[in-house]
Amino acid sequence: MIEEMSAHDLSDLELFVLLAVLRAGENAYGVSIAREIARAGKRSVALGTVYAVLDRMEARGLVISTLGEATPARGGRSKRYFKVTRQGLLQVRATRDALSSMWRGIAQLQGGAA
Amino acid sequence: MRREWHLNAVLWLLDRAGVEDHDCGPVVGDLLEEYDSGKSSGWLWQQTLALSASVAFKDLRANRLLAARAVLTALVVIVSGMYVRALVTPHLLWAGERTGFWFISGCTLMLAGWLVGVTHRHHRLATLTALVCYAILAKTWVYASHFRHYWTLPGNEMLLLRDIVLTAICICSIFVGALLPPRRSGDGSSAETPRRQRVREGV
Repeated sequence: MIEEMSAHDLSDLELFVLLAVLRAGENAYGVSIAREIARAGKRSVALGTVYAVLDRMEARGLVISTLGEATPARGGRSKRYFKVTRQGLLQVRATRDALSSMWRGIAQLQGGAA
Repeated sequence: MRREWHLNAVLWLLDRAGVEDHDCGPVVGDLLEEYDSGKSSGWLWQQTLALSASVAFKDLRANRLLAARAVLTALVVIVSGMYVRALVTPHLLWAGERTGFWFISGCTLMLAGWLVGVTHRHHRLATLTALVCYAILAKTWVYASHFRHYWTLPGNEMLLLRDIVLTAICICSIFVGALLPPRRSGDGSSAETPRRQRVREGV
């Protein structure tokens, strides 16, 4: 079971991107996902990197994408919207549970003092 | 005006590099949207280079055999160039006369880049990346094996640094050569570039 879980583990960046897709909701496309990561995750990620991670996760069935509308500001190019699949959601929950259990009971991290 | 110049330059580069052949239309659209909303030109260039590198390495991983074939194709030109260089200017690197050496080296690598660009249109970035990686490795090996020569030449303390800079310029000429040929669609007619598309749509 442990081996099975680790084979599907999410990397740090994959977790950030999945959470950003969930936060962006219906409007989850490259720009909004990168903005969510910058705003909530306090991390700057290149758009190309975001798409590379999303492509990888789409191949693993964690997200699905659909092409949206093209606007003049985008030079006539379509937006690509992303949605987290059920499998992706299960993966996020599993990662959260694993991280929470690692977090628990560490004396140095209790309270605000370093 | 300057922003328009940067935008056109980036679109030209992405078009010539064939980035949009790899389902990158939406990400290029995102770049344009963000730039339109006020991001700096520095940001645009940084994102463009990061995107190009990401596409190149992803394509390279997926097409290793093709990349090896591209390097072999380029080697035909590079080895031919070495023979021409030896015939025209024998032993000139260590004999003081160096302009001809670097000129022929630069032209050879530019020609190699052009050939790879022409023969691998749909995987241009990946094959060029493979060629550049090969060139860097080969030149590093050459410098490592000839390192002691630089310290035996009297009065040429800066020679090594100068040669490394000239080598880097020669390696960059691979990209110059590869970006030169016009892109054509499958039926032989000129492909519509993103820039032309933008102009057509009046953006």
